[in-house]
Amino acid sequence: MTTETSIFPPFPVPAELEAKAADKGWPHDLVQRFVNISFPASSIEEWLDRPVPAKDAEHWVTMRERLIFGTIQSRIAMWNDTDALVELFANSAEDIGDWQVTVERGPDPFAQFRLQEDAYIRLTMDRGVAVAASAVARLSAYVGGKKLIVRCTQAFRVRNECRGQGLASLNQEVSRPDYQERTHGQFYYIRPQNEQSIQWLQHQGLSARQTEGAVPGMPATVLLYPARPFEGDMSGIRKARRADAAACARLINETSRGLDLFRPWTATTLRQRLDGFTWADVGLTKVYGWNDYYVLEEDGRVVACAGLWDRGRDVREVWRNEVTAEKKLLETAAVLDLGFEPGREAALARLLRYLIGETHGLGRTHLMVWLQHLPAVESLLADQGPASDPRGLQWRTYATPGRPDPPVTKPHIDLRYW
Amino acid sequence: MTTDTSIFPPFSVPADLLEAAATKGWPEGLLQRAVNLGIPRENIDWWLEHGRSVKDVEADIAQRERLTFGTLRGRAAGERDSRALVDLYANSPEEIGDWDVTVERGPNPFAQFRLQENCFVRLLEDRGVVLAASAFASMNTIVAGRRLLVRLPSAFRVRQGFRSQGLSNLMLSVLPPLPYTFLRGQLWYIRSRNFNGVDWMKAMHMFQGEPPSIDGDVPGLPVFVHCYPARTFEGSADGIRKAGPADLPACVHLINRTHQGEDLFRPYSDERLENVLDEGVWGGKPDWWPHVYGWSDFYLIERSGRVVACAGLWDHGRDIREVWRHRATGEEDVIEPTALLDFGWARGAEAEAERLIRFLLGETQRLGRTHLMAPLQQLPRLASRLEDLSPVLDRRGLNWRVFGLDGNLTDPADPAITRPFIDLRYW
Repeated sequence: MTTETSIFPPFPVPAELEAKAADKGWPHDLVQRFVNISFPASSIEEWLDRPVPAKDAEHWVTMRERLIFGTIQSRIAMWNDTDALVELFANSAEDIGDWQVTVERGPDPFAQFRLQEDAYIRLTMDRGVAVAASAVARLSAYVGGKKLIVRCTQAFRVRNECRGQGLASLNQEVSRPDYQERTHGQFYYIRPQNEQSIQWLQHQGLSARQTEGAVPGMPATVLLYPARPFEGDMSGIRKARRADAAACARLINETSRGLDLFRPWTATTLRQRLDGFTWADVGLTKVYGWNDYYVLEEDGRVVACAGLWDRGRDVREVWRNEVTAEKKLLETAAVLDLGFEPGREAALARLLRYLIGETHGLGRTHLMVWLQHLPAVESLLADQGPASDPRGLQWRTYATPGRPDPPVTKPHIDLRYW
Repeated sequence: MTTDTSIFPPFSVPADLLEAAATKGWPEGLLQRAVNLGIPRENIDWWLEHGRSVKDVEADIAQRERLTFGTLRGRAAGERDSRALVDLYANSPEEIGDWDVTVERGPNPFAQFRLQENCFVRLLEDRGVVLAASAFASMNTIVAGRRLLVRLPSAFRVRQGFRSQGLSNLMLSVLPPLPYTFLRGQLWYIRSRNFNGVDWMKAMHMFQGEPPSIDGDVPGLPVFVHCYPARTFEGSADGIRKAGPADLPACVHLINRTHQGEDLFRPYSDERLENVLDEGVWGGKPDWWPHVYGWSDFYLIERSGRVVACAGLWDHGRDIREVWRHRATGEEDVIEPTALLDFGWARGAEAEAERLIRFLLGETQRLGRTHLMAPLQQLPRLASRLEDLSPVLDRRGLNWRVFGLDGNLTDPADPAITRPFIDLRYW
């Protein structure tokens, strides 16, 4: 764009700033580069006052210059980025031990994130080609009995051909305004043997204690039940109605109360979730809603409930063994918003068996359920031969001095964020 | 960025597409440009099959190229953009009659948008300088008894000196993330006498046909809010106090009773009002939380131990100022108002509602603001009780269009807005 005005760089450098930069031994043009990216003088002063080498400042300004003056753009993904995102995820494999895992996301690459609270996708593009992405959600949850706002970062991918170019860092430069962005802490999951991610996290400052071991971080395991037709007793099982919301919220809360990263539901919040956050028909395909939510009645009341998100419709894991060339495909359904009345483990197990059947009906390979906190239910389903999907849960807080935020000790795993 | 891979343009053009484009009379190079932009094949096929004019295709492609290959960026604003947005709004006056009106937004340019539902601010930036911006909110609401999802674009500004360069069009291509795109209704206000704005909206095809002007003013349903000059409160503050969480059910009842049935009013629930006053954050506020409007701004009045009226006072002027400069005389006027939000009263408690507003006018004075804005158009009896305060009316045209599920506009807009609820968060 051409213009005759003088609002564009290069901008003049205040003499005192130049003198201070020279005193600190900054390279000749470094302060000019900071000024050209409209970096406030007070912030440049802060850089100059920090006990960090000039090369750190240089590294930072170079990153910003790449985003401001070059062909690379980092921004929040928009709905018309759908094709670019599908292509990016299909071309961004992770190395997990001997396997190369590609998590394909499509036809709706936003599907999983539409289920999350306050989520968005950070997208890095170069000349119209998506080269990196990650998703961020921001949720209210209890941790250690305290109400916190936490962030979940996930689906971090850099396109296969573009690794080692600092694009992950450029992708992280995307933010929303402070009131939507800041949190008390953040969590994320890492697959075991995902060495690239572990190295990157170490580079980001995570200690060895948090990243070493078979599963880096706190172990979290989800069970994968192979899909199969349901041949059991389906009495009392039906789809939920709006009027069931209060009972279901109560059951969900009874099942998960006291776990970290859980926020108790109300009938209103459950209805909003199942409405898909919009209360009018807007012609948008539902990812998960009333049609996917089931209850089981016994003795004339709802004693168990669970939702079935057809995750595999939009998210598929393609595993390729780099040694044997073996290939496997995981297209799962996932159980969300599960609850049951105390002592009704058998009812919940029956409902889950029914959902394994629904998963089969959908043509998916497995039903994903998190039952780590419900060993009795897990043992009732042992005959289904589940595989396990272990990950490490990482939790970091931005503690205020003198008021440390609590650690996550008993996490609630919501498969929306898995 | 350098790369040895072939994932970047130029891309090869399929021969059959080249042939189809030539048959349709596309100039040489146009198809290559479309392919280089990564426009999906099915889109290009659709353009060719449905006879999209070459002029339209060229304009579309040129627009995309500006945002893809140059230094111009279109994106959602983030936390680093505060200063640049303050600078943009301070340099983007509107012509209103004989006046230049600059709506300055700062120190927190996001303040108003934070109060809106599902709002994001989009901007256009060139080499780190913001050239244009607008906000885009979407909310669940009720119009004529029907539930709708409605979007509310606002605060559209192009920097002075950069107008007529197609930046508005470029900005419209910055879309929100899913799922807020698929909306049924769109609502926007036009300031009285903002005829330049109307011309621009016509050019942007924001109206269906030629919009009727009302009494020679801007198009749309005439709406207004009362602006009461700030003054010291000298009445009785008996029974007036700040609200707490235990007051939520009573206040929700009062607000719903007062506005029930107005178009664009969605009844409050305890949970929703609590979330509003918690400023969207549950639990205690962290030290870094930038306050805009919350519990400390929400008042009620009790009579015989019962809550009979409530109202919130948003210090709008802290972050938003209107600077009016008369082009001929150089006269300057600054409007820094507070705004009345979330108000309601019990049947038969109009006197208390009046007293509470007078009290808030005193608070407005104490804050150093010039006026209190109160949306009382649908509440004329209360407005008449406050006539002695010599309010000025801030008039606007409320424009409304509704899309069917097929994506086409309904004509006339269905459902129609007849008796609008004005929420000053969106004014």
